[in-house]
Amino acid sequence: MGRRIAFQEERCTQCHLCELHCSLAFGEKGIFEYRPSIARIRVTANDDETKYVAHVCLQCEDPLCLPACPTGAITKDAATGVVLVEDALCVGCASCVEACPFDCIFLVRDLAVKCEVCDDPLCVKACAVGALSLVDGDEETRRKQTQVYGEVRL
Amino acid sequence: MNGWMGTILRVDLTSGALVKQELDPELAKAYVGGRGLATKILFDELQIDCDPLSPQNMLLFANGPLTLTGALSSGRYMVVCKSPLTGTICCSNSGGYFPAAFKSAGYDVIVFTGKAVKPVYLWIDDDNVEIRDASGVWGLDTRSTCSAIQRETHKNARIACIGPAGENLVRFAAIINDGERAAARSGVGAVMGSKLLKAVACRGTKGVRVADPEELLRALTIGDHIKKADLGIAFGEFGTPLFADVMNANNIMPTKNFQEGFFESADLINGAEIIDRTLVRSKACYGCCLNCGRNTRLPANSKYQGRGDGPEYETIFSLGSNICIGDLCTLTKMNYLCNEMGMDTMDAGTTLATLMELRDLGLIEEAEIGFPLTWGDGDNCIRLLEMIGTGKGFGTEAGRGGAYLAAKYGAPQVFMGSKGQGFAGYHPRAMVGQGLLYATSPEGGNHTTGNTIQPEINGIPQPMDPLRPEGKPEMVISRQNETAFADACGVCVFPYMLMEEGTEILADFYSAAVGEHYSERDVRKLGERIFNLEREFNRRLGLSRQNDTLPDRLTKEPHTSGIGEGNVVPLEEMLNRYYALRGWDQEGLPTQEKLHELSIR
Amino acid sequence: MIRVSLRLSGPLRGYYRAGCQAKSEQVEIPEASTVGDLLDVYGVPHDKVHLVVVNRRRATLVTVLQDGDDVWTIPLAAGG
Repeated sequence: MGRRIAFQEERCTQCHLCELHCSLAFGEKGIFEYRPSIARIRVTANDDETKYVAHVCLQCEDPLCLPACPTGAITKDAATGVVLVEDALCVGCASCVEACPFDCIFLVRDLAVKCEVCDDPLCVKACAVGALSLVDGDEETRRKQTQVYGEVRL
Repeated sequence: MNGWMGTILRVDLTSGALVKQELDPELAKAYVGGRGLATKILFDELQIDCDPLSPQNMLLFANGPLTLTGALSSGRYMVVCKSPLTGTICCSNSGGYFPAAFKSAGYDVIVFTGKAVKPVYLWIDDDNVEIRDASGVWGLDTRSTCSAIQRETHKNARIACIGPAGENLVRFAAIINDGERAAARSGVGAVMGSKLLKAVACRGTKGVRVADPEELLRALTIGDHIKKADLGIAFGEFGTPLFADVMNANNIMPTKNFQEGFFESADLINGAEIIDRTLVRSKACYGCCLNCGRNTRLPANSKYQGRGDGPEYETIFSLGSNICIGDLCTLTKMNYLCNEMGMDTMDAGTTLATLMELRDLGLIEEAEIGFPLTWGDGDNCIRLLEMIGTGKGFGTEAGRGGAYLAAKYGAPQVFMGSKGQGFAGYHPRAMVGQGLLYATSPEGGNHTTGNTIQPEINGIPQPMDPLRPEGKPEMVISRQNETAFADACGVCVFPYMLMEEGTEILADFYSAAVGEHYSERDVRKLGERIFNLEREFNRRLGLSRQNDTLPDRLTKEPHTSGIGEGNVVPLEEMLNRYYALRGWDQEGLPTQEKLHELSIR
Repeated sequence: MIRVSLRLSGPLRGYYRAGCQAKSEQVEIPEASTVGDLLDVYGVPHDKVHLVVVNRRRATLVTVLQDGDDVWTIPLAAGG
């Protein structure tokens, strides 16, 4: 309970390798494509370039996207804590996108997509500076990650 | 298509016509992309005798088949045109985030022709392309231009633009993208300014298909090895400014207009000093694991204020040692000014150095410039840079560049460059292979077409004596060919340059992306073709051996003190062998056999 | 004993005794010490040093040092 991708802002270099590789993992079946616009992790910086931020779902304890969804497509896995979107129930209304204060859920091809924590996350492998890690818990990093997502919007 | 997006966007600024042209797969195979493809288009279509600042010139932006893929450092593009600084073909390279953006919008090449009636910018939003009025941003510095255009288009739009320098046709004006990255050399910014094209903004949601992603995933492991090796560690920590120490120790750091190769105050403007005084954090271009970029800010107690990226090593030389500026804050301020106004820091510095030496020789009066300009005079250098960028007073003359000024004031030998473009930060008297590179570069004093550091200074793959000509023609040819290929792929040369087997790895990535096998030998051949095409282009402009020159200071005046004392560049003997090995005649012209072998024409 | 000055460049500056912001250090070493001996005093691994310059001339790890020498050690170069 608490499985997620942790992000440490001070290490980020704004290289976008996480975004690039996430997109490879989620291409349409049988197609190998780098397409950052479908990535579940998105990189940005603040105006004066003092903070570089990779937005990836915090798998919130009380996710705001969940109650915002009119069809019940969003659930939270009781065992892992990962917040999941059921494609079959998603109608692409983007209420979840509106509701998320951290810019971590996106509309791609009329479906809501977000990080659902791959078994062997390619984003973590792709990060050359160790800014991303697969964790279970780590509330210290979660607090800082939450704060920086609120400060630096996509 | 795997690798390529398959579309060339043609923008005729005179008529406003926008045409999407399918990329011919045979052309893509033959010239790859980036520098290769853009040069080929120019070669076939340009009215070659045109004035580079006339509407007849063509301005091309070209990414490559590896841009926006998992290949190492896959975030680069080239700007190709006829240069207003050198009058030759030129290719200017830049990284940042803009190259990946216009690839994701669906385009391999953007071709600008003609001239707009009034200032415009291009807005590319995937398939939707518009020419928009730029009167609201004309005159703005590059950073303000980006903010303003983002407000009008999309907050995440990536932008390449000119500043006042390009608008004022400064002959060494740059095209700045993402606020800080520069297609700086050869005056490409002036060509953009001459077309009244202020900026190109884009945003894209498309993807790049590749044949073999597994092979491309090897880049993650390879990148890891580079970063853990001594060289990678040093590079990540210090960036290109690491060079200040290395070049200075080797007596290769150009000082006082290349009069010397050693700068006493180099340790006040080097990579360590940047870390200690101005570095905010390191930064990476799109798709690159090396984070050599320097995000910096002038301290609150500094005489000057500002923030931005850099300075990079080339700026540490051109606006530092070569004009005897030994203060990091002054140098950094000049660097920021050049980025904001959109100018090449390298030729800006060479122009200043030329003026300082002309003053020493009594060939130009203080009154003509308007104020003193002595070696190391930071305040007046800043003053003159601002005048150059904004086209005020003597700035309009100075904006014509060092070669023009040296000739005008009766001392052409004072200009430290070739074909009209200033040299890079390596003193050829103690690095003779680099001298051969400068002399044979298609656009003059450029080092980016095959920097010889790795073989000549690091001794990789085998030790070489930087002072001697033996082995240099072979080595320079090899570096030029492999670099031309890398420049066609849309990748940064740095990681490949750091590895002995770099070109082989790049060949593997290229093969994996496009879905066809290319050996290292194959890709060197592709690079050779591109380099010969540039040579043939220049030949049609009347260039030959007589233009492959270095100033007498480098070939006749011995290096002073330290390593390489007494050394000169034995250019003619190296050229003889270089031409022979390239399959060119002794006038430096590709033979018919060579052109036929490479299927050029 | 003789007195020499030592400059450590780039990542090698971590070996300065006075801290990595030093630009150079003066140090006393026994007569007939080599560059390699000097590096050993500082704990600098020899394989991290790509170039040795003594009094602006190329030297090696076995170069014997004299009083007043200026010794400069350089790592591999990267950039452009």
